[in-house]
Amino acid sequence: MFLEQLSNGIALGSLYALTAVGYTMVYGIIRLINFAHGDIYMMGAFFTYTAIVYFNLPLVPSFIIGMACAALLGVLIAKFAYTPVFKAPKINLFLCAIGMAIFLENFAMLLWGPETQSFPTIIQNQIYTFGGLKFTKLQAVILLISIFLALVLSYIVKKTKIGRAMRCASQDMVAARLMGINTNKIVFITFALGSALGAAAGTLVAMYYKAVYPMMGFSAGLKAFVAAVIGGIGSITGAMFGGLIMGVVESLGAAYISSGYRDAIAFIILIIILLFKPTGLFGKTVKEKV
Amino acid sequence: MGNLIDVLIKLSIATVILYFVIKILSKGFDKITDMIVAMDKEKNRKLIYLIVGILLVLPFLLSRYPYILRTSIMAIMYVVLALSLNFVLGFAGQLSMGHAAFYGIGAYVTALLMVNFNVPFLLAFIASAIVAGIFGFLLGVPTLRLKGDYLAITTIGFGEILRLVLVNWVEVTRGPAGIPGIPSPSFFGFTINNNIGYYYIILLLAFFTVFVSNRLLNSRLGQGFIAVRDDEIAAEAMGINSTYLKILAFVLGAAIAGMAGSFFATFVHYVNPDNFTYMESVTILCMVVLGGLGSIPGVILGAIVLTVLPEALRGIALYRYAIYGLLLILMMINRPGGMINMDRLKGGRKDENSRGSRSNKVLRRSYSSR
Amino acid sequence: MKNKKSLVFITLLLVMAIALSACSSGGSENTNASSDGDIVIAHAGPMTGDSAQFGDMKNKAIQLAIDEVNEKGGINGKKVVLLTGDDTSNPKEAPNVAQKFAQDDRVLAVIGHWNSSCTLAARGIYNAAGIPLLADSVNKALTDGTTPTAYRISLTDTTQAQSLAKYAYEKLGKRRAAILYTANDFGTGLMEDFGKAFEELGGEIVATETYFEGQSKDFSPQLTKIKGTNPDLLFIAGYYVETALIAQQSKELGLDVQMLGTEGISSEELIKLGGDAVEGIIFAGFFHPDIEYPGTREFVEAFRERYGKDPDTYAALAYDSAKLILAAIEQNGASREGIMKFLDEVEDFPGVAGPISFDENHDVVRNIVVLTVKDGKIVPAAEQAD
Repeated sequence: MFLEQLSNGIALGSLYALTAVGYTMVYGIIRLINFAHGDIYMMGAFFTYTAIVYFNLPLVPSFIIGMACAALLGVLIAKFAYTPVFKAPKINLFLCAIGMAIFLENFAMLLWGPETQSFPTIIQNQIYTFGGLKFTKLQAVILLISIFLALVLSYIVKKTKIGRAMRCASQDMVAARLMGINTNKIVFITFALGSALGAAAGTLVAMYYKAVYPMMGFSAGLKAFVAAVIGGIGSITGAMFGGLIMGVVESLGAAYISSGYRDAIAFIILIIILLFKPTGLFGKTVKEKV
Repeated sequence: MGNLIDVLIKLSIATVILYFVIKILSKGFDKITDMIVAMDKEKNRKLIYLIVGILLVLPFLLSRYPYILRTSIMAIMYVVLALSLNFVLGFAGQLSMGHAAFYGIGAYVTALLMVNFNVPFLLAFIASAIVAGIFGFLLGVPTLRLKGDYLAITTIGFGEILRLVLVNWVEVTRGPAGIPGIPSPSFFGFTINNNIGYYYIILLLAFFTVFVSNRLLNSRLGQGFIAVRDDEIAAEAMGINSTYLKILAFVLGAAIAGMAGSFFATFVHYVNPDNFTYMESVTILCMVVLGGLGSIPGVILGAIVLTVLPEALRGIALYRYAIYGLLLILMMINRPGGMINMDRLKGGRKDENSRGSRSNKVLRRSYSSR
Repeated sequence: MKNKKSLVFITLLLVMAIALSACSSGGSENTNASSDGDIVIAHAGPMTGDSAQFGDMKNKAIQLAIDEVNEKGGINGKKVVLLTGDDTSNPKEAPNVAQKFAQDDRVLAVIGHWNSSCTLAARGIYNAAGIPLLADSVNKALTDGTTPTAYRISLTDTTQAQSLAKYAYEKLGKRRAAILYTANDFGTGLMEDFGKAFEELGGEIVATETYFEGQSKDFSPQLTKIKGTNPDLLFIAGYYVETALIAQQSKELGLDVQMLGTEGISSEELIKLGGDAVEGIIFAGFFHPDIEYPGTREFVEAFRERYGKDPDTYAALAYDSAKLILAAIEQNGASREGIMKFLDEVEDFPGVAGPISFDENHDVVRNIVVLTVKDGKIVPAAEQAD
């Protein structure tokens, strides 16, 4: 029973981790809690769904189209909704993100209808057992893809030229601009990457549960945010661990404490971690300049 | 999917209309603000009497339109809620996103006391304020260590935990079915059972809240709040006890939200955990920021507009919330200081470039200054 | 000085805004294309938000019923018009919708709300205005006698749960039931009543777990736990989206047990979402296209032709509600009292989901239909409840 619950938790956690990675990445560069991330994740899933169902494309191209469309959407959002408020107080940016989230949810509802659509089954489920841990093929795929994407992302951020510019911009936007970095471009690239990751997560989750619906981003976004904060927002490794921790804690909590308080357990863990380590598990403490 | 073009066209039209409406209204708001700032004392007083008078007779004028009267009551209730969040957000500069929790606590305390123990409304009302205030204190103390985004997620967590308790603690809260049959309030033998009565109760509460806000803002404490909000470290260096002030803001905000909740419970006669979700907190937050952070008239206007607007937009049913989202974005882009800008109201800067001028470390740290 | 200024402001703005609200609500009424002579009935339900799909189905069905009447030239030459109010499944919004309808003298009757919480929050307003309300919410408190204008066209959660418990115990021969319920008034009510009835019959409830409709997608912890208690029946008190997911996930987890569902899952969507996993699930319904009453076939065909999908239980009940109201107007004239008089007196009104009559509590008198999924199709179960 315990091992089974643990494997449930890891499977769930890898879904959270995948979403949290995109979240944390945008935060790391722009310091914006992108409340619309969950809804970009939803739009990504719908784009892939549309490519498969309406245009009869095979899975892999649809997946890529979904990610590309979401990346484009992310850039458009950044350009038209976020950059105009960058100079304003931070809370305005925050509200813009909330407004965007509300807009996207309802936009999807207008386009695809409010009902839950079934996502075509593509990967047949097969159950593997590994030292007492049980998992299905899709769960394994999801875990591997999350790790893979996190690695790619770490590589981009740490080793490439663009990545260096990103880190630069995240430390000091003005100084970065003075150093000749096109910070606008960096912002857009960050959003494109983050949104593409979100779309990948959304599509995988849609495949996992075989369902897409306009409200799917709402609680996913909130959970991803919590996972990212637990891990230390801005840290990619932190987001991976945060997601996994949350998945495991939730599953075990639902099993041994109460399924009704399941979501509360995630938040209680969050509050406890924040009280002892206010910047999350892997977060860096930023000294405030006076 | 087939209606893509149709949806896009309609939304584009809505965006353009909203854009121009906001532009025009911005001009109007600035004009009115300047006019009132320029007015002398005598005229001011007359205007107040006139407006208070209108507010007092309003329900009789509206008695033939119960829907409008009801919407007015809801709008005034949200004025109280938004002002209560303004203590935390606008005065103390703490980004709290779980405000609906206090509102819910107030509503449930009143509902439980009145339904289970037949407690009179006034007592239940006071109890609601006290219990909500205690929870405000409990949330305020540990979150003092947290800043900005971390504080935001913690308060979201607090709100969600509270909602889950309401849903799961069936023995006390009756779970998701909620508590129906909350009696109408009665004062000294008079039972208030029509909307006109409710209108006066909530109007009284609104006057009280405005009064408290106003007194606070212009007192020593209020100046302390502003100092803490703008620069906590500097404020502490000047001998201001920022811990005390922040907790006070939380307690005061929570207690007033609790009162609003208490009113809501008796007004609707039914409470349910779904009334106090995260989205409700977000709505209240939007009212404060959209109206103008820290500016009392602004927050009031924000609350009224965001209550009336969704009602007014009922005619376009499905597009309602999409347009609501667009409005938030466009407002934030075109009018970052909110509808009634704090600075302008103080007779300060009149130029457009006052955006982000103040340098609050928590709320106002902008992208460019990093 | 400053106080005064802001006070002036505040009050000025309050007045302005209220004036604005007055204009806007006056304005929006005009946008509904109806002239004075029209007959207006209203539908209140979730058109956006978590449960929008249900409101959408109901609205489609009501529109269908109204269009059928209008095609025949309306009632006494008057056109029938539908007003839709969106309560977003939120009990805070529901009273606003209700008040709007209540103020509108043209509204003769209201169909809705779908969520019990919304109906409970709004019913007082309808009652005060004397508007008949035809709800398909199942919470038993709705017809407790305090709001006599409320009628219920679906069975209460108690009746449904008792029928299901009896069916499970007597017809299926199950003794150890696990319950997985959605944490809202619908799920909680069914969970309690089913548990009570099943235990009274001599069965045992071995596990009770919960989830959140519209938010929970992962049920593996609950199902793993249920699996550990070794039940011979899994009763799912929820709606089709979650039930489909639960079925799939329990299959993956190796929980192979007879599943029993509620009226909330009797929809074609269950099979679209659940695939093979929902094969063999048994559930309650109030309507099935194959269980034919007068008009059932025509309704199903018309619905299919117009909207490209099969009507579900809620659609059928909404259609019947609309038909009831229209028949009442035809017989007793266009007045709220006339409609209520008709509803009080009506006996065995030919509905597409079976004959309709109301008892003294204003609850409908009908039996559940036991349905099951066989070869990817919803069919009536071989053995029906008594």
